Amino acid sequence: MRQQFLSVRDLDVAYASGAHALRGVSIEVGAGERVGIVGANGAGKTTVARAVTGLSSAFRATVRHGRISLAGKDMTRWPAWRVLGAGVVTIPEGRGVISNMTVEDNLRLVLAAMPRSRRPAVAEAYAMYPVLGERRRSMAGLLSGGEQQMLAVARALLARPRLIVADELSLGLAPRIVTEILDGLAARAADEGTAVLMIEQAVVMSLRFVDRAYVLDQGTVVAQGTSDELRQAGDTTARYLGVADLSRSEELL
Amino acid sequence: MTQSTSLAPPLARPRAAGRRTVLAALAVAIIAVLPLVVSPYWTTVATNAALAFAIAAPLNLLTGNAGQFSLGNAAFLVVGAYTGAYVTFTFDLELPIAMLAAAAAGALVGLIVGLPSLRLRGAYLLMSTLAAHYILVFAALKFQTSQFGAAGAIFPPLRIAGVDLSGERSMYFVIAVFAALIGLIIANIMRSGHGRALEAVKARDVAAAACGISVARAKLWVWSLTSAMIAAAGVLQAYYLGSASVEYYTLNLAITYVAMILVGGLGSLGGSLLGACFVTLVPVGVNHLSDAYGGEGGGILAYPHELQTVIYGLIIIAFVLLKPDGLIGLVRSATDRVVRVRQGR
Repeated sequence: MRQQFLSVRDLDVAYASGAHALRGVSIEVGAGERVGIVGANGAGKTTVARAVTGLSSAFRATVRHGRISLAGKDMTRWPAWRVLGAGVVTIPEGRGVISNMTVEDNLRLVLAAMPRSRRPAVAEAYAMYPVLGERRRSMAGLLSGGEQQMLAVARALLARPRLIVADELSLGLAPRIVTEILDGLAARAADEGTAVLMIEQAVVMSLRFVDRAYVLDQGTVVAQGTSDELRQAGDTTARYLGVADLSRSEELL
Repeated sequence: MTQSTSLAPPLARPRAAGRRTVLAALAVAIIAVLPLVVSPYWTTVATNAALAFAIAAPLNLLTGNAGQFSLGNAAFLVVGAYTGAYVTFTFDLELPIAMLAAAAAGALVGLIVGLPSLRLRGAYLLMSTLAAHYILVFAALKFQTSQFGAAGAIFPPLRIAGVDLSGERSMYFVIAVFAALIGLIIANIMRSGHGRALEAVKARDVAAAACGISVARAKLWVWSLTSAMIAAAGVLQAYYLGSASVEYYTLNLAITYVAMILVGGLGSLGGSLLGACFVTLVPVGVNHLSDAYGGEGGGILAYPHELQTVIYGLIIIAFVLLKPDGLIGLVRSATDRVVRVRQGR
């Protein structure tokens, strides 16, 4: 059993609009583990990502009850900058790249939050995805979708995270690009023992990347297990995910 | 500043840095020599422009870089002027101390006026600063009546360490040095992590938060800092004008500084400078025209003050519609063209 890192217990979150997004969700992520949260649109996946990265209030969501803790320390209502300081970095939905800033300035954004002595060189990001180095003086908004996602991933890794929360990384990208981005992320995460919480609508792709996953539907966890277990779980789980048959869907790719 | 060069090919970078040093040296030389070569009238115009820059530049940092819309600058000026007047008259302190006291008061008031920015954006935030303007000016009126009498605060001729600095030329140098200092501080902020954080907050609160930036802290910090600078400038302005009275700190005055940054170019220090010069020169130009042609049958030229207001309005509309990046945008496209011609492209 791995050492537990992130622990979400009985989390209940509602938006100011009245939407009751999460109803008693519990999730565990071990140190260096890769965990997925899958589910259909509106299942509450992104709400989990926001809650664990301190971004709830930015979206006018409130944690009604439940507890989020990091290595045993309660961080349920921490603001995002404090969560990041504790080693949890988000790659937000929509990439969170500042489009009228250069690639290099985007990378440097995350460094400002770190103590001077621990700041890595921006060049690390260029070593990971060379295309970013070639375009480091370009405005981030001029990059392709895939390059922007690489920028978001590289920026998150520069913060030396112990856990990366990646929200809909594959959205709007060609499968080949997603594979390239994930390979880079997987290699670095393995090297540095970084845990990854991957939130995805693209189930098949997600299950290939993670060790195990939670299936979310209407704000509750309806199934969980290792990737293999979920693939073999049969009709009920597949229906939650909007996939006809998970065991065979691998062939689709 | 960094943004403008970032679209250029990588090789242009070191050259741009060198060019910046040359430009800065040139600016210092011009500032130093100017009052020695031009008439006292133009020295006054230059003093006004420098003072306008010292107020417009912090406003531009707040609005142009951090995306916080504000009409509170006239109110911050009066907070500064009256804090300065109070400590000067009560404790007989010198200008630098009075300016520091004013800056402290400005920082505190700016922090409070900036609080709504944690919830409001754009036009709604603008409305909250409009309310702040009226509240602060009203408070200043009460303060004025109780402390200085109905006519406002009359400032003595400026002396620092026993040296009389009230002359036109010395006043010019005092204000120019202050303006340069403000410009230097802001240029450094814009190039630092703080500057990038402000740009990120302006672009997307959530993305900024995801990068570990405390959005609330960044917003309150920039409100405090810029208000402190404007309040300190308020003391200098009051010394320069010789008096401070509530009637001077109107919404119109606040809009004048907004006009400077819109016309000059949002988010650019050079833009603040060009805007300050331009808006300072409009009344000068109008007065010249009025003197020359505004006699009997001079039509609208016989009403220079009204004409100025109309011209301000037209200029703002024209820039917002046709040249949203302002005068500095014109300068940039012109220099880009020169560079391209020189490279034979």
